[in-house]
Amino acid sequence: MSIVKLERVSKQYGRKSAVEDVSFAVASGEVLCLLGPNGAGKTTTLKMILGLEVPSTGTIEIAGINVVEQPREARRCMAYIPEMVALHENFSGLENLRYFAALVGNRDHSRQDLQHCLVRAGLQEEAWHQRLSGYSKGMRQKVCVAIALAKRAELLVLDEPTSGLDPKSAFDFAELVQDIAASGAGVIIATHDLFRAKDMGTQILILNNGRIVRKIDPATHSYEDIENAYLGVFEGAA
Amino acid sequence: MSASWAVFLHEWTRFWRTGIVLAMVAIVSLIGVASVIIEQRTLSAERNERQALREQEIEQWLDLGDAHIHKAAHRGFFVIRELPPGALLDRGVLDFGGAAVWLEAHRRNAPQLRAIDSAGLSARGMPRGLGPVLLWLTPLLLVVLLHGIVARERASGSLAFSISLGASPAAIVLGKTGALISLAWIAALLPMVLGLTLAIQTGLHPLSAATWAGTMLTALGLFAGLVVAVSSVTRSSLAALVALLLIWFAMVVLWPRLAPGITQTLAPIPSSQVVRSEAEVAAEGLVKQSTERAIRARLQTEGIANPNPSGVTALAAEIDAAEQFERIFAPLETRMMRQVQLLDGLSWLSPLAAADRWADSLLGVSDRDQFAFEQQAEASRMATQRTLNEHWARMTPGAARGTQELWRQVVDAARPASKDRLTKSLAWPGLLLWLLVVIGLLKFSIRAIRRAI
Repeated sequence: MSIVKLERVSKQYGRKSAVEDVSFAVASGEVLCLLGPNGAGKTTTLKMILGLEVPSTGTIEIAGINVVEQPREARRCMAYIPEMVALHENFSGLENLRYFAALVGNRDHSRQDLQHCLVRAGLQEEAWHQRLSGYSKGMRQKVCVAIALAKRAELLVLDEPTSGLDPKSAFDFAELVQDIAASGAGVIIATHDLFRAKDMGTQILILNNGRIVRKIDPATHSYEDIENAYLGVFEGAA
Repeated sequence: MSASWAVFLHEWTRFWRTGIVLAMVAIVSLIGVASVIIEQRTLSAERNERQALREQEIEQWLDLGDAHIHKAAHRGFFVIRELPPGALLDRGVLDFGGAAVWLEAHRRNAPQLRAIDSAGLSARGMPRGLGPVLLWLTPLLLVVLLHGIVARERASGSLAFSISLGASPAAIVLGKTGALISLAWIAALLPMVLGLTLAIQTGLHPLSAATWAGTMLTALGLFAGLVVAVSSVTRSSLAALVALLLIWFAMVVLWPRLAPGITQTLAPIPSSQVVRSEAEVAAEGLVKQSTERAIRARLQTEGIANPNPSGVTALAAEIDAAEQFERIFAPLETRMMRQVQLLDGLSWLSPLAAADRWADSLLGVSDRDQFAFEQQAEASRMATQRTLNEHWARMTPGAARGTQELWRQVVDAARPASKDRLTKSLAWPGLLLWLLVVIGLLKFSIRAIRRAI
């Protein structure tokens, strides 16, 4: 069964069409990568999935829940990691995790449970009690992943997760995402990072001008194929 | 742990770590405690001064010896206002109402209009007394230190992150409002406990003290709710700061200054000088033959066959003038009370002004109390004049000398008897109204958070 399902979703701002007739589904254990140039409609698509934007037409379901009709219930099933991770600076990683877990209603977590989430997210133990103001972007993302683990999210939505990360951190993060998917969650990633998309993804969609222009199976395509397909979007546009 | 409780604890931890708790508690406690101590010393000195003045008045009257009664009547005297114990917490209109009323024969004392002019918080300038410190300074600190309680999170993206995880906007707003209210209350705690303890020790009724404390806490709570609501609907901390500073200025400075002028425009009354001179002209040389006859008849039934004619005339003049004064002053006093009630109604536009007027009323330092005192002073004047003239009328013709016993009766009559106010303050419904307004604004801010993410 699909964890997230988009059917003929469009979004218009006045006369401008940001997303047009987009349909896809992500099942448990799958990682969907949305590729495309700036303004292709990736972030708008993510916002509609999160219930932060209402589609002009079409339907979006998360674990069978209509996002437009029941946005809060739908959000309970997912976790979102934005490009610029906005946590609370005056609190440690563990305190942020405890706060956000309690905020979304996960009240049965012991300290050990939360620490286990941080371990799974790959945050080094010596950082757990340090204030977030001293964290790198990668460390902040790991706290966000730990929050997603703590709330047992069925769907993980990531916006440009590897931008600004050094190659080692980006590689570690890709492994972490695959690990989460392997544990049964669905993952949607909006990214410009073709290589990471190939590593992490079970399916790749290339968007341009709000439309899906290519569907690629990373298992049967090489890096070069994906790169050529992506660059072909620009050539087509030119 | 509920989500709103998690937000509450989270905010308190943040207040603590960023030094906001320390700043709020230190500033409010320092200024609040200092104001209580200063007021206690000042009031103690003023009480002694008034007591000394009263004793001096008594002594001077008792030293009159065998002075002429009519001359003694024109000598006049002060009716000295006792300082209510609640003045320790808030001077109210006392500073402007005066400590005493000067009384003399044939001079009806029209109630002063100063109480209306000085009814606003801002009319007192910088905070003096605990009440103004709590209603003037604490809201300002809430604005300066905590205007970004929601706006800052909105700007940083952590609010959107919380909502994207499925957090309830209502729980966020509720938790933050609770944290802000409790912070304001804790900041006010130490000076309130000190001030109330001292005021109760000097005679403030515990029920009045408890109601005053409740009024202060309610006003602070309402303003804290307003801070959260405004911070929720503004897009940046700076916008929240500007909006809240404007609201604070309007509630604490602008509206309390404008309201008395609006009151005078909507329900005008002539100045006390105009009314008094009109009354004195009306009372000039007014002696009804019928009143004199009635006095003579009464005295004859009491065994005084040949009363003092000058005394009878003076007594009749006093009785007739009192009737004339009543005819002129009763409608004026009704209009004054209408003006005071209108000012109560206008105070509803600011929860802090409404709380201030209601608190003044609880402490016995309101315009109503000043008005009641002036009426009591006039009653004292009439009583002393009657005492003197009644005594004179009973003397044999040609005699007009007083005695120490008579002077003793005069000084006893010059003490205001009743402390009842004419009407109850209508400022408190303003707080209930604002409770509904703030709840409505917080509901609106919850919707605004949902929409704006």
